[in-house]
Amino acid sequence: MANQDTVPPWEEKVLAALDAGEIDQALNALIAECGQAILAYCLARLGDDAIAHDVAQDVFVAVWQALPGFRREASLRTWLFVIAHNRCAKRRESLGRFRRLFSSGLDKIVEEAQPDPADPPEEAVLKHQQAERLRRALAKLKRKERDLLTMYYMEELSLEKIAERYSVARETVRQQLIKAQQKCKQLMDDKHYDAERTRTTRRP
Amino acid sequence: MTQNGREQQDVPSDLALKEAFEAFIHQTQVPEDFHAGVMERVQHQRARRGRWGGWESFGTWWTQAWSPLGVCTATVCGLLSLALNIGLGYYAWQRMQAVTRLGQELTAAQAQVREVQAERHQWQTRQAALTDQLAALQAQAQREAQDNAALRDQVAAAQEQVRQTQAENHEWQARSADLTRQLGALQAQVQPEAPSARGTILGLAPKSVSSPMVPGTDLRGRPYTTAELAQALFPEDRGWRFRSSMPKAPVVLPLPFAPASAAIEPQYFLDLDRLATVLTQPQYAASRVQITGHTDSLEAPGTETALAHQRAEAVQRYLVAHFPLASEQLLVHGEGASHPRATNDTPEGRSANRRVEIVAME
Repeated sequence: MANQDTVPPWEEKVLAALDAGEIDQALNALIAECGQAILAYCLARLGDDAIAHDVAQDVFVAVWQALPGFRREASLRTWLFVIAHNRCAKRRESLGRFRRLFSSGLDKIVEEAQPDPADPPEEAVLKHQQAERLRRALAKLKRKERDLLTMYYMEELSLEKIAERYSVARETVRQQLIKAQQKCKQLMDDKHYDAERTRTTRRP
Repeated sequence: MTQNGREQQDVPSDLALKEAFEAFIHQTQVPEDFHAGVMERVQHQRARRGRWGGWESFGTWWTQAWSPLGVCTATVCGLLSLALNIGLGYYAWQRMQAVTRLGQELTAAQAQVREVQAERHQWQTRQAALTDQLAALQAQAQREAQDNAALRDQVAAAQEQVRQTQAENHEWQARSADLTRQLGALQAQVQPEAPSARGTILGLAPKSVSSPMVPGTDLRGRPYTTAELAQALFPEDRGWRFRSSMPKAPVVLPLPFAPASAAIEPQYFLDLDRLATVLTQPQYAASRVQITGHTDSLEAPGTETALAHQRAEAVQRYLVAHFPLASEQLLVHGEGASHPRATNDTPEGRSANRRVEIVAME
């Protein structure tokens, strides 16, 4: 969990630029620091590279618009993720409508994701494998479970915040999160992963 | 931290998952154009921030999250609804217009009916009035036709009289010149014979009609004029100096009577009218005349006077009834057969003796 008391240096830098009135500079610093995290978050939430890319850019445009009115009640990272969460929810709402009508589902899009083409060292291969497993597991999970996991592990929200966001009891969130973790880990197991890989590779 | 500690206890934060998520984040490839794309959108947004910048998004906020099919469906539904509403509105408007028009026509028709009824009543009233007027006019026309016939007769008689008057005037002028010449000769020649000559002069009528027994003017059997009649009745008005002291001579009216009858034939009313015309003239209004009836010797022996009186009365009655003459002005006298104008031996003589004479009183 993020420590609210200690302000990371990049955040100080951004706030300093904001105080100086350099909005573009602050945005550049934000993109450089949190661009990858936001993009990953959008990808995990939405499951499609192109859509995630578009939404992430939207998030930063919204940040640029809202940055002069930032009240510093929360950390910049939390604020950024709140915006990303709203944008993702909004986009997924419209996408949900669209997909119910026109599209077949998320699986195919996820399968199209390609592994890193560069020749990585062994640890990198392991990390890539981990990431790939997680990606597939997330695609298999239900939307609610995926959201819970991304909120907890990527957005680093507390159980109270998640419960508040869903307007449910904390205990409920806790039990759902435990179930989601178990299911995700199960899906990331070698057995499932291999079976999934063989199934997908066998598919013409 | 206690909260975190409890969470740590409650939710076993899976290390493998955490690592996997971190790896996922690190493995996520940020495209090279990501930053440029963001800045491009920012520039675009900045350019849109103009005077009406905010209104563009406001105009499309409700369709931002819509699918194309949804937009199409909504558009089609909206258009259909609009068309339906317009159609219904137009239909209702037409019905309303029709109802209003019908009401106006009804009111107008009612007003027209009232007007026509009033007019009919007026016409009926006028027709009744006209019918009355027509009846009155017809009656009047009838009366006037009768009057007209009488007037035409009078006009014809007046014309005839004028013609006669002109002719007689001429004759009179000639005769007066002749008489004046005779008078001068007689006055110079025979002074003692004056009375008989005077009688001759008094007998102004032609000698064939005039009787030697009774002096006066006999108007029977010849045409005469009103002026001549007035002259005969009131001879002093001629203005002749030697006649001013003369006694009044009787004038025999041209009224033939049947034996033993006092009735006046209608065709002789014109002569009586002529007499009335003379008597009603203003200069003779104060004078009185005496109407004397005569009979012949054969009719109704013993009652001659009564019959003669009746004849004179018949004349008086006609004059008083038809003209503004008082009965005091017209004295009536029955003479009988004592003053014959002709011989009673022949029927012509007796007819001439059945007569009425008029004489002006002093």
